[in-house]
Amino acid sequence: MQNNNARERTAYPQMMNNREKEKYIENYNFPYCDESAKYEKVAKIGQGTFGEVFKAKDRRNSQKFVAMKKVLMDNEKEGFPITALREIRILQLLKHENVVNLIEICRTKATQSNRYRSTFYLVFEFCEHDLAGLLSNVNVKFSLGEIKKVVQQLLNGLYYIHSNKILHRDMKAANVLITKNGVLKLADFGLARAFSTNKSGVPNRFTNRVVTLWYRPPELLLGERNYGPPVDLWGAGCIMAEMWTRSPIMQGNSEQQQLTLISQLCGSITPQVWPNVDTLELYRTMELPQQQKRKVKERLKPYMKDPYACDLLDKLLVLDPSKRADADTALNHDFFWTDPMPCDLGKMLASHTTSMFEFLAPPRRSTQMRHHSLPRPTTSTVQDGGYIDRVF
Amino acid sequence: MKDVIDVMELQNTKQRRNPLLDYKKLDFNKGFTPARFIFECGIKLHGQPLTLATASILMHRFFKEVDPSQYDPFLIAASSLYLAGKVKDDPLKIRDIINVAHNTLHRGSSPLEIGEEYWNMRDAIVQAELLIMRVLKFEVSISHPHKYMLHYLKSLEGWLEKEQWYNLPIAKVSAAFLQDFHHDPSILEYTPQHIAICCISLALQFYGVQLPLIEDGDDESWFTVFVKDLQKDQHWEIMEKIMDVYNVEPETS
Repeated sequence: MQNNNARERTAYPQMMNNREKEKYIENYNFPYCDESAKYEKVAKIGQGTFGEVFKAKDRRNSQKFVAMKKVLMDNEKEGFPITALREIRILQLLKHENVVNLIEICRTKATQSNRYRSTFYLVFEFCEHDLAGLLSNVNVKFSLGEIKKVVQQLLNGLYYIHSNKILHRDMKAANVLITKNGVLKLADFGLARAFSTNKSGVPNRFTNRVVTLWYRPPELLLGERNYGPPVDLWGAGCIMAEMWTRSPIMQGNSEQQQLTLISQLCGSITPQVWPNVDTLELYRTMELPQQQKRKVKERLKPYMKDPYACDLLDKLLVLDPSKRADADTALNHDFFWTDPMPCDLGKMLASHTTSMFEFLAPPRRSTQMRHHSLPRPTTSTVQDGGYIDRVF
Repeated sequence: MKDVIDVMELQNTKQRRNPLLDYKKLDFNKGFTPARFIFECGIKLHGQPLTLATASILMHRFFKEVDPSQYDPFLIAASSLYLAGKVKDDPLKIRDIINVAHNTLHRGSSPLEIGEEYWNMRDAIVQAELLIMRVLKFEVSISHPHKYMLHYLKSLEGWLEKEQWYNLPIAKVSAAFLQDFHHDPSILEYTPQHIAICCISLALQFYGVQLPLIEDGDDESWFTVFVKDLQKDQHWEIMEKIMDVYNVEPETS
C-alpha cells in the first residue's frame, strides 16, 4: 500500500471547509501519476482533431526527450473520454520495437487557475522524424536497401499489432515515426480498436468512418462494417509507394473521387475481381468507373524500377480485402530477401540534424505522383540535443 | 424517456429471491464490501457480467491503494461501474447510474430531480473516475478468470459422464462461485487461471462428482492438465476464501 498524503490527514474531506478542500485537492499525492511539470515543453510538434502534441525535455535528465499528447476533455460532464481510454489500453498492451512506446500518463496540478481540474498527457518516447516529413524533404534520399528497411519495419509493426488483435485504422505517412537511429514506430492509436474474427457468425458492425481519405481502402469507401486487418495493409501499400513517389499516390478530395482514383489505378471494381462486392452498402450508390484496366505495376514502374517492389505493391493494393496480402505474407516476399538487402537507416539520417515532422513542413504539392521539388524553408529557433525544431 | 431505465418499474415488477439490503446501515469494516452494491446496480443497469466483474475488481484495487475510511464506498462503487462500462466498451449512461444508485440506496424514493443534488452527484462520479484511474496508474484492463473457466468447463464436458454433465449444474454453479468471489478483495491475490480452477473444483466437491480415471482421494490431480503451478494447499486456500464470502454476508430480516 502506498503512503498517501490523504492517509496522514486527520480531517476528512467531508468535514473540511472550502479552502481546506481546495488545499486537499491541490496537494493530493498520486504515487503512480506524476505531475506533467516534470517535463519542460520545448515545441509544439503536432495538431489535429485529436489535440496537441508537444516535444518536451525531462527536467531531471536534459538528454531525455519525450512527446506529450494532451488528452482532450471536450465533454467534461461525461468524464474521461472513452476514446482516450481505449487508446491508453491499447498502448499499454502493445510493447514492440516498431510501435511507439507509452512511458506514462501525467497530469497537471489541480489549482485554482484550472478550477481544480487536471489536464492529462500521454507521454511517449520521442521520435525525431515522421515519414511524411522525411518524404517531403528532397534532401533526404533513401537507397533501395533503406526503403526496404522502412517497409519491413512497417509490416513488422502491423504483424505485431494484428497478432494482438488490434486494428490501427489510421495508417498514413504522418503516423509513421522514425527515430534518429532509423527505428520505425507506428504511432497514433487514437482510432485503433480491438477486433475479433467472428466465430459466432455474427458480423462486426464497426464504423467505416475511419482512415484518412487518401489511405482509405475500397471496402471502407463502399460502406463495409465487417472489416479487419486488410484495411491497414492497404494503407501500408499506399505508404510503400510513397517511398518512391514522395507524395501520396491517390489524393482524392471526396469519397467518390477516391474510389475513381482507386479504380483508375487498380482496375474496375466488379464482382468478377471481388466476389460479393455488390452486397456492400454503397456499391450501388457510388459511381464506379467501368472497363478500367489494372495498372498498378505499369504506373508505378517509372518510380519504383525494382520489379520485386512492384510485385509486392501489386499484392498490397488488391481491391478484394480477402485476397490482399497480410503482413506475414508480405514480409516473406522476395523484395525483402534479395539484394540489396534491407539496410540500416541510421547513417543516412545522421546527416540530417533537423527534426522532420509533417506538421512543421510546408504543405506538400498535391499533384499526383509528382516529384516534390520545392526546397523547404527552415526557420529554426529552438535547439537541443543536436536536433533543431522548426517552429511555425 | 425511452432509453432511460425506469427504476420505479424495476422495483415493482421484479420478483426477488435475494432480500433487499439496506446499504446505509451496513458496516463495511467487517469484511462485507460494496461489491454487492455494484452487482445490484449493475444488473439493474443491464451491464454485461464482465463489466460488473471489472467494476468490482477496480473497486477492490482502489481500496487496496488508499485508506478506505476516507472515501464514500457508494461513490467509488458508482464510479467503478461507470469506468468499467468504458473499459469494456459496454457504456453505461451516467444518468442511469445516478438514478439506479440513488434508488438502490434510498429504496422506494422517487427518482432524483435534475437539480443541484443531481449535478453534484454527477460531478462527484466523474471526478472519482479520474481519481480511480490516477490511483490505479491508468492500468484498468483486467484479465478475467471467466475465459479460462469457459475453456476448462468445455474440456470437462467431454470428460464427465454425459448423464452427470446434463443432470448436475456444474457450469452454472462454478460461474456463480466465480461471480460471488468478486465480493471479496482476496480475488486480487490469485491468478485468473487458479481462480477458475478453484470455482470448478468447489462445484465438483459440492455435487460429489468424481472425475473418471482420477483415483479416490486424489481431488487435486484433475486440474494439472490445465494448470501446472497450483499447489494443493493453495487450491484449498482459494476454495475456503470462496466459501468465506457467504459467511460475511449481512443478515437480512
